[in-house]
Amino acid sequence: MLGLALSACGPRVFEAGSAKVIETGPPPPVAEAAPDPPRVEITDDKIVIHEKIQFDYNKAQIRPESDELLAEVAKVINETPRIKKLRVEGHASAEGDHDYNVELSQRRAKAVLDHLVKRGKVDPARLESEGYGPDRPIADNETEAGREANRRVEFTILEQAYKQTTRTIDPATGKERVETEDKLQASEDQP
Amino acid sequence: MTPRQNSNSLVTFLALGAALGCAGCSFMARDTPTYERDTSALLDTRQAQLRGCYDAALVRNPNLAGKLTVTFTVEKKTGEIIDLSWDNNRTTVDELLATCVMTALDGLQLAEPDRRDGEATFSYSFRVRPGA
Repeated sequence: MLGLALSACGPRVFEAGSAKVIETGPPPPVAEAAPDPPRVEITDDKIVIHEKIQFDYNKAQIRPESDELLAEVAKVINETPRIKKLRVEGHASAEGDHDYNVELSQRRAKAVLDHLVKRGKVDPARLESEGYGPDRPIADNETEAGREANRRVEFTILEQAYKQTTRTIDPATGKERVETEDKLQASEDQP
Repeated sequence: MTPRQNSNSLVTFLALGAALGCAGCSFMARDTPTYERDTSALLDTRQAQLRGCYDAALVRNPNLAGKLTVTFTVEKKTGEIIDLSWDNNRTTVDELLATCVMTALDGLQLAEPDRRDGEATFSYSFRVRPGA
């Protein structure tokens, strides 16, 4: 009887007669990897580089890993004839002697200019260089991240050509007249 | 002991046995087809997750199709699915998909437990929709 009672609790064993179907559409085509964002961009008044130009420590020697980046910068300049004058600007952090940093940033800016002319075939008449040392910080010099951000090279567009279109209506005839004039815009930062 | 006394003892013993039986199985008592149907419906609540497993597997291998046989026990009293595994001898899909399915089915529980364990075997057929 006890056996009977226990056997009443024995497991139910079952197996489904047919398989459950998991069905789906074909896999979506693998999206092509998005192209890398450009490292070099032109804004209204700058050629912005999204990567740092690397120099040997405490020197104005450009490291080879920056060759490709500078080649891109040269390409952008050469393909944008409206940029008439561009200043290569060297900046440093506030770490160390001020005058030394100004002088080092000047030499680094000049090294970049020379590189663009020599290797990138940029017309030297379109370029100038300047070193500002720590005088134009963009980040907090109290933190290492801030100091690292302040050590940089920038490209400021000093002059660029543009076309000015003027529309006038002749009061006598009522006809519209369109005139286009080539202009040269100078940066406010121009010395 | 008289025959009448023997008869009384037998009735008492049977009643005791029945009481023991009921005390041990105080939950829902399904027959086998009902147990299978309820368990099948429980598995179906994870269809979307299984399709997700398959979609992910197809990204790795666009030609993947095949069968997966899972075994598990529906625990009496709690209704939980335990000892979930897949039968290698009756499985043709890859291990990554099988593992994903195990994870998807993990934690299932019958809302109304049974007084008996359920030893279940279910198969899945994975395939890409024809004509798609």
